[in-house]
Amino acid sequence: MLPIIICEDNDIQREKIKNFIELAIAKWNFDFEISLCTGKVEELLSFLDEQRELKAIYFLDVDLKNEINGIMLAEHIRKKDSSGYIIFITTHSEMSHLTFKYKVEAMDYIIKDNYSEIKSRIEQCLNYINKTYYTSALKGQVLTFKQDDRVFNIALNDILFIESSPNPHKIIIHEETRLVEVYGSLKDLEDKLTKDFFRCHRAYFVNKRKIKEIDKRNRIIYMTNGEKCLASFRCIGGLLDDAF
Amino acid sequence: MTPFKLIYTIVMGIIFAVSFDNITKSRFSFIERIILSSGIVLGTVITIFTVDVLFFPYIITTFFLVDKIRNKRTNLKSGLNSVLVLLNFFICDVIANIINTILFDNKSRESIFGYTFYLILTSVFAITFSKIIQYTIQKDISRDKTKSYSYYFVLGNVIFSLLIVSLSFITNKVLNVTDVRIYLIDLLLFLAYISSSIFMSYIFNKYTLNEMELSIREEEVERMEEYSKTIEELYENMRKFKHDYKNILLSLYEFIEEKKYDDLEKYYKENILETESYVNSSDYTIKLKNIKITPIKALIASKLIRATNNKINVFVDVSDEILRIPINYIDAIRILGNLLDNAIEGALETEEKCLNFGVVYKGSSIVFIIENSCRQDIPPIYKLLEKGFSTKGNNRGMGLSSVKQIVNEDENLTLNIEVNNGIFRIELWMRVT
Repeated sequence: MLPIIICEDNDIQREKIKNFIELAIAKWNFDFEISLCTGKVEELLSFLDEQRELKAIYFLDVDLKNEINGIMLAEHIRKKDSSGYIIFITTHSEMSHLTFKYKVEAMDYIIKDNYSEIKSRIEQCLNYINKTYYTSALKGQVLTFKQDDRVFNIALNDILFIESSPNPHKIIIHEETRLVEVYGSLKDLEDKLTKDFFRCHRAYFVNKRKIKEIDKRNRIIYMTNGEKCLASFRCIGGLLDDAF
Repeated sequence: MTPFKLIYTIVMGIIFAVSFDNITKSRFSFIERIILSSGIVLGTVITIFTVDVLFFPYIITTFFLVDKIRNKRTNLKSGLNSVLVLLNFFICDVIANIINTILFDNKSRESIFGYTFYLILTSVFAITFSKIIQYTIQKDISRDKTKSYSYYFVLGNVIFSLLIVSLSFITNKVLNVTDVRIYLIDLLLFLAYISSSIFMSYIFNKYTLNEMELSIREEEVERMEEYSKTIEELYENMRKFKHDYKNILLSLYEFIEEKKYDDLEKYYKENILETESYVNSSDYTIKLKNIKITPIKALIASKLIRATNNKINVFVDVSDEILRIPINYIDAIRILGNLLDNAIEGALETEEKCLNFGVVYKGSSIVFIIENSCRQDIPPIYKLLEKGFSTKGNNRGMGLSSVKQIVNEDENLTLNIEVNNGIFRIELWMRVT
């Protein structure tokens, strides 16, 4: 059961949003519940203070007429709830959605254009949360990196291979549609990886499930997307033994 | 065939292999190293004890081929490298010889002690010297094409000086000159020449760097002009808009006054909703005001102006003040310029052209975010990172690969690339230390 918290100072709009959420919950049979619906920031803050630990969905209005603005409020929430879902609702279409996204890891940014648009966006958001929150347990192991208060979650099954950067303090994680570079070393990773990963080279960990072909003579591993991964003379034997 | 000579040749072969490794910076694996050294030692021993004229061609061709095939260098570079290895050995041999002669007497090479001393001296010299050569010539190889001249400059100088010294050494040998002082003078001249060439290359580098900075300044001024022109235009538009707005409000008032609400609704839908798109767009250049680094701002502005002129929907988001960045401006300009160019090119290939640009402080990092709409059938990321790859076929710009190279060399930079649902997103993280 995930709690939903709404903070919007316009009474009419708040009721509308609440209504949309309730409809969506009923329609899709989500396991969510509205636990706070308020127009006052103080109320939300005191609600946060009462909780020891929290993971919730937040719908926040950015231009709350208050000393504390949207970003500050979201940063406050992040202190208590580092992995909750924050969704901003605002009239400011020119406002900074990139800032919100990166600063407080906001999940979405809904612009109050017209109510039907808001409704469908709210439904989309809840659907997405439902999917990620309740299926993450089935998805298999996740590799978590923390870097400058940003958390990268990478599903091990998506990784093709992990490579150490020419610069000794960085590693590069190759996925089919993503390339993520983080600080760290391959050595620290060793314990976090599953059996699917094989150290095929001094500078590479390869996901054995993603291998398409091994060129033994040139010691190159071809991944499912065609990308090349190197293998060393010493390790390629072990990899071939493992495969057959 | 004396045992001395045999040991000498073996050591010589090993020194050759090691200094080749050092000079060419090959990073051989253990097995490759063993194979190379034993091949060289074997070849050296065989040629020296049979037809010793074959020795030099043998060494040169082997190294040339290894450097060309294993390290994938050009003919010129492999050639120069293999000559360097050879000359390096001669010089060190000469220096060790001279020192040995000074410390002991001329006959020292016949005693076991003197001979070992001589061998150790030669190998130590050869290895350190090859490291120094490698450092001197590689240090200036920059990712920039304009700078690689200085590589050939220093390399040429080093080879030239080594050649001169070896020549004089050989002439002295042929003429049977035994006076140690001649070798000493040779040595001094050689050192003087090397240091002067290093100094020259330093000056040269500085000069090219200055020149580069100058041209970047010039470009910056141009971009700034473009930027201020856009701002002026924007201001002019704003003024017009303000004027229009007053009229619109007045007309609205008239509808209300006469209580013609149906007409009002019609008027609102027809005339006022349209202005919304104007309010929402076109002020992106103003949003760059938070970037306080002029060259960077000018670059971004000029690229975004280009994007708008190409009918791309540009969105800018810089809500924090950016006062300084942890990397030098030249690198930053090259990275951002490349990324923005790519983003514009990518967006142009799509129907709903859009480009989002943002800068955000996150923890102790500054994050530059560039998003653009991209084709659904965009090539996989690793292909985009390949050198010389461009979706437009022939080498347009250096593209992502050169960006990646700069990022790789700087510990404070990390680059994340993601393709998701028709959106190509690049994040450049700069760690502020």
